[in-house]
Amino acid sequence: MLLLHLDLRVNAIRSTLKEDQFPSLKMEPNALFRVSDDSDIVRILSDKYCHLYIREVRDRGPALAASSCVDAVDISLSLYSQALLCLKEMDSSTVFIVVDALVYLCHLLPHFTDTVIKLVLQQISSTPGNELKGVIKLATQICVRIPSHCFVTSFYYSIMLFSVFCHQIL
Amino acid sequence: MLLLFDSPVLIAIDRRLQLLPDEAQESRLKALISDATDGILRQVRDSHDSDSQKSYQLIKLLTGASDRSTVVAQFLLR
Repeated sequence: MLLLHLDLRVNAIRSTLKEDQFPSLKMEPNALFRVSDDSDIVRILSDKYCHLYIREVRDRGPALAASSCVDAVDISLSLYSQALLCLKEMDSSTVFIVVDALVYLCHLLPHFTDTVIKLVLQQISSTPGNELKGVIKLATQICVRIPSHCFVTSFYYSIMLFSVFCHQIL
Repeated sequence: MLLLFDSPVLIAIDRRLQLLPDEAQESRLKALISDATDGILRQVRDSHDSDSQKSYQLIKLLTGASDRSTVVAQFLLR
């Protein structure tokens, strides 16, 4: 599963780097509900790296953080919040991807963590025990990780980009 | 390339990085686990009679999380 995960991340980085505009703006409103094949999963992961790109733009120069960036973040937050509410209807591999995307988003945008925690608790409260599996996975991830150390994150993505580099050469 | 992805070192690094504690973990745990109105511990108590499977799943969540993170374990032991 980790192998597939890393491979998807590499593909996502590639597709994000090729895009001139923010991929999230091109996503259909219900895209996350119809995740059925790899191309859709890659599209979701591309959206994750869109956030990374937005943060880069913000960190490097406030003047570059145009209103379109803010719109992209808002649209994606709305989509991910809707995805969280539909975790119980997803199959296990989709849950894995969406949970990972949500945790990653919490890392990028710490204020989103509060929203996610509120939604998780609401979901736990309103969902019967036999349908809790997806939310439980997300809650566990929120408890044990969301690495926020800049060095750690940059080191991690350096490894990912190095993998892409090696892949291009080989 | 496959060798690189299959490398146990890379997999070990990925797992260790994902399990590193962060400074916001404590506040997340408070909001998620010990919130007075709808925290996990409260919901375990509330659903103990009406939905025992939910209680079981939530206890499983807490034990799984404390197994993976010493910060969670220490938080629960207080």
